[in-house]
Amino acid sequence: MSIITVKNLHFKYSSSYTLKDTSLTIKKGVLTGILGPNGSGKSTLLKNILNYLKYDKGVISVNDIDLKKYTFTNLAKIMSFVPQKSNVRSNFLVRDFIILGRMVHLKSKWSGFSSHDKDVVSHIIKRLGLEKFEERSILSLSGGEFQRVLMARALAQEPDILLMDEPTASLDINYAVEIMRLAKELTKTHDLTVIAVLHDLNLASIFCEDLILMKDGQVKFSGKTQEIINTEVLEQVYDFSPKIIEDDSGTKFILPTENNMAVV
Amino acid sequence: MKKRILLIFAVYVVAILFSLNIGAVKISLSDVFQIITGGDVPEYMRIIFFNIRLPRIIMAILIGMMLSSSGVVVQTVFQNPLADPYIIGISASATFGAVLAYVLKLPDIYYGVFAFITSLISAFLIFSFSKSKNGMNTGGLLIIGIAISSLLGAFTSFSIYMIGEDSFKITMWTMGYLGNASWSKVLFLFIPLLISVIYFLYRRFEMDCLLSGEEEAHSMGVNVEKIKKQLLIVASLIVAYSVAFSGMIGFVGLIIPHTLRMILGHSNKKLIPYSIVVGGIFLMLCDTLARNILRPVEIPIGTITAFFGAPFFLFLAVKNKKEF
Repeated sequence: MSIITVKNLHFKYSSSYTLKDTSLTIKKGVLTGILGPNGSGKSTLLKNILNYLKYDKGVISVNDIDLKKYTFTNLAKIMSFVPQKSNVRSNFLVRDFIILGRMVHLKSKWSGFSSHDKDVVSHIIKRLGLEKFEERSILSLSGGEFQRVLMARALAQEPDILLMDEPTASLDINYAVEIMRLAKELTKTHDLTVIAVLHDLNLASIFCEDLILMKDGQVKFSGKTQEIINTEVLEQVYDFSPKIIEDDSGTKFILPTENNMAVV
Repeated sequence: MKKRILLIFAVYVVAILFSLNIGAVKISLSDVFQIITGGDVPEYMRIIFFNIRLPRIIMAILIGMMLSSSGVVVQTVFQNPLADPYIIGISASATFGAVLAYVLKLPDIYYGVFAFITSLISAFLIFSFSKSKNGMNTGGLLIIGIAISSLLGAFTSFSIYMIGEDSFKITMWTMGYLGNASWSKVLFLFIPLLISVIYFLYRRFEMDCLLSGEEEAHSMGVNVEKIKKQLLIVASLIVAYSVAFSGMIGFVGLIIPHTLRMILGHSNKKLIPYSIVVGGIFLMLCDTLARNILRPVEIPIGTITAFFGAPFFLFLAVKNKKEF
């Protein structure tokens, strides 16, 4: 069942289109990875789905409703976002920062956060193993710890859809795996739909059920991860020839090779 | 929490009594008590107390509250710790408006109206010029602020020059002056202050979200553009009012929010109310100094706040601050 449909999307920052006639569907309760070389329009697509960037032509619908019909609050109730790197430089306590995700559920802005809001946040903090950081400043955290805090804030919105923009880009491999594992787990336990823009082909292969491969602002391939990963596809998308090996469970691993540059 | 409120209340009482007490005419504490309880004191003392000193103290407090809270808001909107309304040129624009009204020989009431309109226009110019794809551009913001301040400052200076001997009123504006306080002015300031305080408190969570940048705030359900515009309008409104009534008083919106951020953190739920109360008392004490250090000559209050504020600004700029 699809939860998001993108049809013939066009978007430009200035003169030329970054997204050209992009179409795709995202399945509900699935972790979908968006991959592609730099400048292929992955993050731009994600920010259009978030309705942060305003597309010029085409349609995006979420739960079969036109994205442009959602109010800011209603959209934030079903969709939240984990950035690659937060712009925050403010001294918030971890708990105070995470609870901002509950703002969208406030009955009245005067009342402040209810005990239910606090319970939701406590539960998420526990789930993400952030208890020992709760009373610390977000500025004192390491990259991996802070990324989990950003994820906690996004989850505090209790969304149906979680958008992640290269959530593992600046992380050590152990933290990267942890974030991806958590995202996948949530698709199973909470029927959460996760869309993650990723750089790392292997993380995508291990954790994503579906993949969307983009190039030059268009979707080149999409489908079940293990079905679409093959040498020809990657050559076409990335202009490089990988060596692909498969483990016993059928998970494919992509290795770069020295000699096989398809295009120089 | 309760302790802190009590402490602030106590500081307020002591500071107000102290400020009432000293001045060109000394009114002792027992006199103050006599005046309040309707006891036997000379009439001139009662007049100084009720018609001069008390409204002036209250006006200083109100203006301090306005400048300090608008500092918090402007810094949040621009995501920049140096974005005090004075530094980014909003105050200079308000002065320009007030001077324009003076040059056009309009009645006093128009000073505030003109100050409001010009500062609002500047605020939006600054806002749109310093906006880039990834939010606000810090360097650009300061440069634009300086450019606008200089341009409008040139007009103000020109007016002073052309008006000649009668230009004292304008000169006063550029340096800040609270000596013309009155009860009607207090009332006139109180209303916009009240509106802005209510509005800022109402937006405290959105302001917290905005500190994470536009994209993240959007993802948390904040209508970024609308809220930033509204916040700027309200902040400009109160800056314009304060400039129209007291001239350009700089750095209050910089020192107070910053000091409080170091103590309380960045959460606007705490920062806004504390900035308001601390800003009020700070400006009142500055004004008490302005009235008294060279008694009977008064020093313009803007010079006092700049005397404290400029080194503080330097300290902020030099200190490698990762956080905002």
